[in-house]
Amino acid sequence: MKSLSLYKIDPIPAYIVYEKPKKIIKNKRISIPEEIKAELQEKQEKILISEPSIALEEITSISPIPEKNFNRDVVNFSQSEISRYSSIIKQQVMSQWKKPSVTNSDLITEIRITLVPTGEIINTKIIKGSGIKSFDDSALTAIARVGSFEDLQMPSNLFEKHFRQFILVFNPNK
Amino acid sequence: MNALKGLILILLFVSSQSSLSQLRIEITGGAEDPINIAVVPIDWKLEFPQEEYLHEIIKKDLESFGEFKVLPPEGMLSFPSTEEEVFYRDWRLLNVDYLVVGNANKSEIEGELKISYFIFDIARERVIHKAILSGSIKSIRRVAHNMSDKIYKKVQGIPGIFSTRLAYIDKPSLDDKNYNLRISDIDGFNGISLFSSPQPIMSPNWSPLGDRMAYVSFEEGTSRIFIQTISTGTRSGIKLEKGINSSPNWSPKGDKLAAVLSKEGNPDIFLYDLKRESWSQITEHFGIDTEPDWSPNGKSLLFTSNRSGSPQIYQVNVRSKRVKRLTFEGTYNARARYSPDGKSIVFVHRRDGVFHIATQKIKSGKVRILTDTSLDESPTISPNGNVVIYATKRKDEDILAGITIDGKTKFILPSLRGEVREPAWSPILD
Repeated sequence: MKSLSLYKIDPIPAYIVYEKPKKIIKNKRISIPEEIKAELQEKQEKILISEPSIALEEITSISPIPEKNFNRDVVNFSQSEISRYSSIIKQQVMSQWKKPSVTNSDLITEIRITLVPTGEIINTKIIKGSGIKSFDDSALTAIARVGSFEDLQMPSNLFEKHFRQFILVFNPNK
Repeated sequence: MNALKGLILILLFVSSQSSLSQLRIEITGGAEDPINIAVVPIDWKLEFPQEEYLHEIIKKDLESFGEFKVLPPEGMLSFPSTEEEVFYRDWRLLNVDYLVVGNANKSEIEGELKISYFIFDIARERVIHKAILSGSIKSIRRVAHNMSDKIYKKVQGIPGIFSTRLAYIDKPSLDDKNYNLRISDIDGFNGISLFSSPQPIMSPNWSPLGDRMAYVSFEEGTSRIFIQTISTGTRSGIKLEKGINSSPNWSPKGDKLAAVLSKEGNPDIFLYDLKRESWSQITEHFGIDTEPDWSPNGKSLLFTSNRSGSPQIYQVNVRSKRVKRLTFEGTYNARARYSPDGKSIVFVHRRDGVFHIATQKIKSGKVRILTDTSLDESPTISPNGNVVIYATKRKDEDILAGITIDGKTKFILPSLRGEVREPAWSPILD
C-alpha cells in the first residue's frame, strides 16, 4: 500500500470517512481487532465547541475511554486533551476576530490552518467561503493577527495527529 | 509474514486515517472592541489650503456608529501618502487594523480635485482597495463622505451611509412660526428647507431614487399628499379624495404610492398610480388601517391596524390582498418599516406603558427592544439596514436619536433648529 500524502487531502466529512475503511478492510481481508475498531469510532467524533464553559461540560460528559495497553502512538488521544488545546486556539482566534457588520445572517467560512510545532501559523486556506469577501477577509485577518498560537506545547504525536492541520469554522450565528 | 504485513497495513491505515478526519474548531464570537483604523492626513497638493480636513471628516463619519476607532494624527509614527511609503510594522506597533493613506491633486476638470487613496489591511500586509475619486473642490465634505462610504464597504461588507441624507419636519418655534420640511446630510450638515408652511406638514417619504419627496400638507385646510422634486423645488398635490389623505409611501419601483384614504368612511390602505393618476383600494375593514410601508421586493405592504382591538402590525399581499398579522406581543405595535433585506421589521412597541423602538424577525415573531428611552416614535432604517433613527423626547423637547440595529451604539442627532420630528432616511444616493 502506498503511503498516503498526509496533508494534501481535502477533509472528508466524518460520515464518509467512517465507511471507507470498512470497505478496504473487507477487500484486503484483514480483520481489525475490536479494540482498534472502537478506537477508530472514538476518533471520528467532531469537536464542536460553542463556548469554553460548555466545552468543559462536554468533556466531562464524554464517557471515559477504556484504557488500552498498546502503543499510544497508534491510538487516538483522549477527547479532553483535544478539547483543551482546541479551546486555547478558539480563545486566541476569538479575541482577534472583529466581525464585520454584514447583517445578512448564516455566513460561515471554513479555513484550513497549518501550524508548525512552535504554534506558528504557516499556511491558511479558505476551503469554504461565505460568499461575502469582507466576512472571509475578517476571518483571515483574525488569523493573521494571531500569527502564532501561544500555550500550545503538547506531545508531538498529539500535535501531528490533530493540530498540524485543522479547520477553523467561523460561524457567528451559532 | 502475512500477519506482519497485515499489521503494517493496519498501522499505515490508522495513521493516515487521522489526517483525513481533520479537527474542526468553531469560532462563534468575536472581539467586542471597535476596529482600529488610521486615516493619515491626506497629502494636499493643491495650491490653496484646504478649508476642512478630509481625514477629520472621515474620522467623524467612521466613529459615528461605534464600529470604528480612528487613530488621530498625533498618535502616528509616520505620514505616508503613497503605497511605497507604508511600513506595516509601524502600524502594527500602533495596534492598527486598517490604514488609509492618500493624496489630493488638481483635476483636469476646472473646479474639481482628484484623490488617489489606498486602504491597507495591516495584519495581512496587503492593499485591500485602491481608487481615484474625483469631486468638486467646493463640496469637500461630500468627497470625504464618499471616501468614508468606500472604506466602510471594504471593511464591513455593507454599503456605507455617510453620503445619505435625512428628511425631517420641524415644528414652529419662537424664531420660526412655520412648519418646515427639511433635508440635511446624515451628520446634520448642509441642511435646507424644502417646504415651509404655517399649517402642519407630515410623513415625509423619499422616492426610491432619492430625487423626490412625498409628504402630507394641511396648507389647503385638509390633509393632502404632495410630491416635490428636490433639485428644482417644484411641487404638486396628487388627486385629492374626500376625508383623510395621509401616510404616502413610494413603491420600490417608484411608480406607485401607498397611502391612507378615508373616503369610504374609515381609513383604509390605497395605492395611487402615479402615471394613471388613479387610486385603487388594498385593504377593506371597518377598523383603522394606516401607516403603510412597501416591502423591498414590492410584493407586500406593512400597515398598522386596530382590527383586532389593539394596534398591531399586519402585512398585506398587494396582488392577492390577503392580510396576515405579524405582531402578537403586547397591546401596542405600530408604525412599522421593513429592513432593506425584507426579513425584519422595525416598529414602535409599548411595554409596561412605555413606547420603545423594537425589531422583529418576520418569521420568528420574537420582539427585541432596541431603545430604553420612552415615547420613542417614527423609526426609519438606514438603507444598509444597520442603524435606526427615531424621534424621541428629551426634557420635553422633540429630538432625533439613533441606535445601531445590534443595540450597541446610541447617539443623538444634533438638532439644527426648533423641534424635530418624523425622520425619513434617504436611499443610497449616487
